[in-house]
Order: sequence, then C-alpha cells, then structure tokens
Amino acid sequence: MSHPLQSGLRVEPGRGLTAFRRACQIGVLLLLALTPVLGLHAVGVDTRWDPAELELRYGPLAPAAAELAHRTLGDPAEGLPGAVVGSTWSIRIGGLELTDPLAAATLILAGGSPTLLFLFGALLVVAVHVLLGRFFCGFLCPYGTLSRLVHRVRAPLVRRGLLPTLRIPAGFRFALLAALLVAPLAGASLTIYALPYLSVGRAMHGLVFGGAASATALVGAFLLLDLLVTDHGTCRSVCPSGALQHLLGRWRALRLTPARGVQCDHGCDDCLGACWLGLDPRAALVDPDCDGCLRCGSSCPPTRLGLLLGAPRKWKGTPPVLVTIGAQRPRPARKATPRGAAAGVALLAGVGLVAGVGSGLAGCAGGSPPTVVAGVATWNSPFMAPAEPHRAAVVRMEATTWNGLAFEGGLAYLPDGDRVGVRVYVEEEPGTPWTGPLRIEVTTATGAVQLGWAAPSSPRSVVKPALYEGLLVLRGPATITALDGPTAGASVRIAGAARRSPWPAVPAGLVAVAFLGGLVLQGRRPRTSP
Amino acid sequence: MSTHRPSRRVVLSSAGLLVVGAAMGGCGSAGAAELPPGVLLPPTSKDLKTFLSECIRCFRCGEVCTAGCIEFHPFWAGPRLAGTPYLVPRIAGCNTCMRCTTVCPTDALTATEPDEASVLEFVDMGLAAVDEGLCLSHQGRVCGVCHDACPYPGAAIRLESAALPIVLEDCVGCGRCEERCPQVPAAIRVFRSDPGERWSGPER
Repeated sequence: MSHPLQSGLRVEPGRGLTAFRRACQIGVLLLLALTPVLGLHAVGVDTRWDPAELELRYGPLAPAAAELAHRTLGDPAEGLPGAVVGSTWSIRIGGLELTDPLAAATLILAGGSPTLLFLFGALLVVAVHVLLGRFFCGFLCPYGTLSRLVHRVRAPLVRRGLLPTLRIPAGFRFALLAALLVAPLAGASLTIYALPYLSVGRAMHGLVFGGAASATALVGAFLLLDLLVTDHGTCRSVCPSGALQHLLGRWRALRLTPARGVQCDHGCDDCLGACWLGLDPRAALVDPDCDGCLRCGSSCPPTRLGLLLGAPRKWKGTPPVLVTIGAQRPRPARKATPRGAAAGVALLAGVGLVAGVGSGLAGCAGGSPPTVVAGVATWNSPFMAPAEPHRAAVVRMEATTWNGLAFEGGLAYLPDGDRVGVRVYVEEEPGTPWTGPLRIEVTTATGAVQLGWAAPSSPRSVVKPALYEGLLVLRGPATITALDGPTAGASVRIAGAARRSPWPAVPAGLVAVAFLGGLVLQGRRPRTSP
Repeated sequence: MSTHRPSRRVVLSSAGLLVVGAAMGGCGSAGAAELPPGVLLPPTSKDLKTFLSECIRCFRCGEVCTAGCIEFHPFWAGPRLAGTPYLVPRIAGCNTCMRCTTVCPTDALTATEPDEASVLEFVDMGLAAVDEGLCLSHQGRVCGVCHDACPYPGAAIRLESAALPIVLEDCVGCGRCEERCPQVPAAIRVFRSDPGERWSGPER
C-alpha cells in the first residue's frame, strides 16, 4: 500500500530524538529560571544592590538572585531593559516578540488592537502549531516537563493499585477553550486560571520577584490532578492550549508513519502504553494530538515507527489513514471495581475541587478562612498624638471584612467631623504580611454598616509592613464610644483579611461541576475502543 | 479502515460542554471591575476598562519596574482583574522610569521616553490631593516632605509660605509624595483620574 507520505525528512526514534527533547525541555526551564534573574539584574541597580531594599521591594529570594547576577554580570547597561523579558505566555527575545496565539485571540476579542510585531509573533507560534502539531506540548511546555516528572511518581503507585485512573470528558478542554474565548467579549480574561504553563512561568518569575503565591497554588492544583486522578490529565484533557493545537494541527505536516516495508501483525499494544498523551499510535497519523515524541516507536519491538516531516500529497479527499501496523484489537476494557469507584469518589471530593480551580472557591464558599491575625491599633504618629488628645482615641467596635468574616477590635479614630481613621496590622498568617488593599466593613453599635478601603501604609516610612490605614467616612447614624485611657496598645483581631471577589466562585463552580459530573458519568461505563 | 466519525453522544456532550464553557466565560466576567481608591494603574495606561481589555496579563511590566512598585492582582481577584498590574503608592510610588511602557507587547501601556517633558505630557496616573485636616504644614508644623519627594517639583507641586503644598495641573500621579508623607493616614493622596478626562493617549 503506497501512501502519500512517502517523501520527506524522516526522523527515527532513538537517543538522538530523546536528547533533542531533553535539551529543549531543560533549555526552556533554564530560560524561565534565568529570565527573572536577568530582569532583577537590570532593575536591581536602582536599589544600589542593597539587600534589605531588594527584599523589601521584591521578596525574600531577591537579594541572593541579585547578588548572583551582579557578581556574574557586573553593572547592567544603562537604558533599556534586558534582551529577554517575559515568560511562557509572551516573551521578548532580542527584537522578537513571541506570543501565545490565545493571547492574541483574547486581545482581539476584547477589542484591543494588536501591533504588527505582536501579531507576527503570534503567527509564528501558530505556524509551529500548524506544521508540527503538539510539538509545543511535548518539547517546549514547562508544565509538560513537570507533568512527566510527576508521572514518574504516579506510575508505580498506579501499578500497585493505589491510585485510580479516571477519565475526564474529552470535550472538557474544548469547553475551557470556548470559555477562554468568550470571556474577553465581556471584558474579562480566564487565561490566567486555565493555562498551566502560564502559571509555571509566573511561579518561577515569582520565586525571584515575589508575589506569585496564587500561580504556585494553581500549578500545584494541576500537578495534583496529574498525580492523583489520571495520567497527564492536565495535558490530555484540561489544557485549552492543547485543544487549540489539536484544532490547528489537524492537517499538520509532521506525521507518524511506520518504517518502510514493515508490517505490524501481532498487535502487542506496547505502543499504547508508551504514548504519554494516551493516543493509539497506530491511528496517530490522523490523530491531531500526536506531539511526535516517538516514544511509541522506541517501544515497538519489531517495527520502528518513524516521524515523517513533509506535506501530505493529498490534503483533500479520504482521510489519510495510512498505517496498518496491525490488526485492530479492542482495547481491554477496564474493570470498574467497587474499590476503584469508592476511591474515585473520595478523590473527587478532594482533588476535583482543587483541580477545578477550586481554590477560588475557598474564600467564597464559606470554607475555613485563611488564618488569622493579630495586631495593634495605635495612634502614635510622631508628629501627632499626646499633644492633641482630643484628636486621638481608641474605640471598640465590631467589624467585618468584606467577605463576611467578623472581627472585633479597637480602631483609632479622629473625631473630626464624620471621619474615622483606621489603623490595623494585618497578616495572613504570622510572618507573612498581607500587602494588598483591604476593604473593611464596620458595624457600629447602632448597626449601621460602613464601608471603606484601607490602603497599606508604606513599609519604608512607617513602622511595620502591612499596617493599614485609611479614612472611613461614616454615613448615617453611628454611635462610637470612645474609651478613655492611653491610645497605644489596643489590640485588633482580624479573621481572614483578604481582598477576595466572589466572582471566581462562579466559573470555578461550573468548572468543578462539569469536571465532577463528567468524571462520574464517564467512570460508570468502562470504555471500549470501537 | 475506519473513518473516525464521532458518535452522537460525543457530539452532543461536546456541544453541551461548549455551552457550559461559554456560560462559564460569560458568568465569570459578570460584575464590574473596580479598584479601591489608593490603587493606581501603571503609567500611560488609559481608563480601567480599556486597560483591562488591552492587558494580556503577561507580567512583564512588573519584571522591569525599577521602583518595585508594580504588583499583580492574585487570581482570586476575579477574572477581570486577576493578573493585571496595579500599584499602591502608599507602599511604593512610581519613579517614572518608563521601562514598563517599553516592554508592554500591546497598547495597554504606550512606550514613552523617561525625560521630564514626555513624562509630564503623557503620564497621568492620577492627581494628588492634600487633605488639609491631616497635613502637618496646615497644622502649623512646617513639613514639605511631599515637595522633596516629588520627581518634578515646581511643575507638579509647589510650596507656599510655611511649606503649604499646592498640587499643580502637571502632577502625573506617581505617588512618591503619598509614599513619603510622614502623616498617618497620609495627608496627600493620589486619586485616579476619571476615565478619559485627561488622558486619551499620545498622537499616533
């Protein structure tokens, strides 16, 4: 049987390809690790390499990274920032902008006008997707690399029956892709929640620059999914970028073919287990999900599957089902044992929620709030205070954070007109001060609810980081009882102070429901291949 | 050989999931994005709505920020704000180095030279306002810290006798004054300009 893919550059499975893949993966990880260090090198000069200042501005690891970069590279050149700026999502290397096509799509859908350079970078990536299929997933994606590592932990546990393998509905990633593309129409962006490699890039950036706790949590959630629920579940069934590459790579030029003149006739199914994307390599010629890693070829005992780089001669007409490597044998049906089901349900409760971007739910669905906090409300501005006792007093009142968590405490206030000065010291847990603005609801003795924002005061000019201060304007009848006595030292307790919006709960809830529902439905009937 | 044709169940469930996905996108985006007072957008950004539609959440501006003032909303800030940059001038004000504008891959931030004329013309993060009830100079204690902190003294802020600060038209809203103000709460604060009121982007 002759097939239209006879010509082209042939890539054989083997050490060369594996080495190339490793080099790509390690290169990307190194790039992601080095970029923020180089970035810090470019901006750290502004702090005159003062470790305390660096730590204050960027985070606990910044001084070490800056010193490393400064010692190795000396002082940075004046003027423009470094040659490599960015991360997996959008990176500038020299004069070249490389952008995820999803970024370009969301930008256009949101009504923004992309620049030519930006579009060119996105089109380059599209070209890679179209020509090579899921090459990005297998060779470049840093999350894919992490997922392979996690799989090494998971595989032996699955073999011993300790972990179940559940199916995530095949359409799930397409639903996520649709959500990703609909959201910008309404002026929002879900990319940051759904794309694992974006979070990996952000998390590695945050190691040096600080402030990437949420991205790290997301990466953890995705990795937990891969570890506990199903093999490479994120890459196979969740990642919307994989879905996009599936769509773009339908007619890709890089195809899997059998070695010439070799027939697969024994149906050993070895290649099935070897494919990390869960494909059947014997049909992978038409499967747009193949990333061309050729693990199947290495696992094939007599035959060597090979990659063929070249355009198929026939683009239209009958689908090019060209590989007849063996008798199609029904895949052995997986038994749905009661134990597996029970384990599945138990895992669903925990992991499904986490993996379904469930962490967004925690703050909103009434889960246990992130811990607490102690602090001091004092009124000891060096310029003010005891000289003007009528301006300072400590009151006791009940207050709630805007996500409904109550606290009671003393607030220093200025009985100057109808304004209340607030100072509270907030940390999420001891040692990690909360640095965003804090919205406070104050319920006074008469039950009137007052809203106000308190901004963190400057760690550089005032005593402590995460010391909140602001003016609340009291509206309506409010009785505030001023206590006599010294103004310093009144304590404030705040339970779970955080800027949380209830909105992530909606998409996260839907994701979780779709995810759980799909798992339950699919878990019931064991699948057989047609 | 089999021409792979998806079964009706697969087609229907995929369609259902697409609808769910679209609904997710729609619902998740409901609700207006808002920033509390005291929170600013990076320099040369336009109004919040335009900015959010043009920002692709690439985190680059924070990477090159020499003042370390640009931070990013965490993912629980909601799908509108998550991953977009902001700065709280009370924590760290902008030093108008303009690096963030040169690395922005989209039009969210417009590349601007860091010289005084360009910054005064193109940057409008907000406008500082003095609370006379809190300002030390207005209480008769000569202070003037805000004037010393301002990168463009004379153009953006000036002092009257007894160091009374007067904010001028050209104030770019960098927030250095708010950062350094010794009073608690800060007696000078930056308020974001109303959308489109003063900033409409440079001529192209």
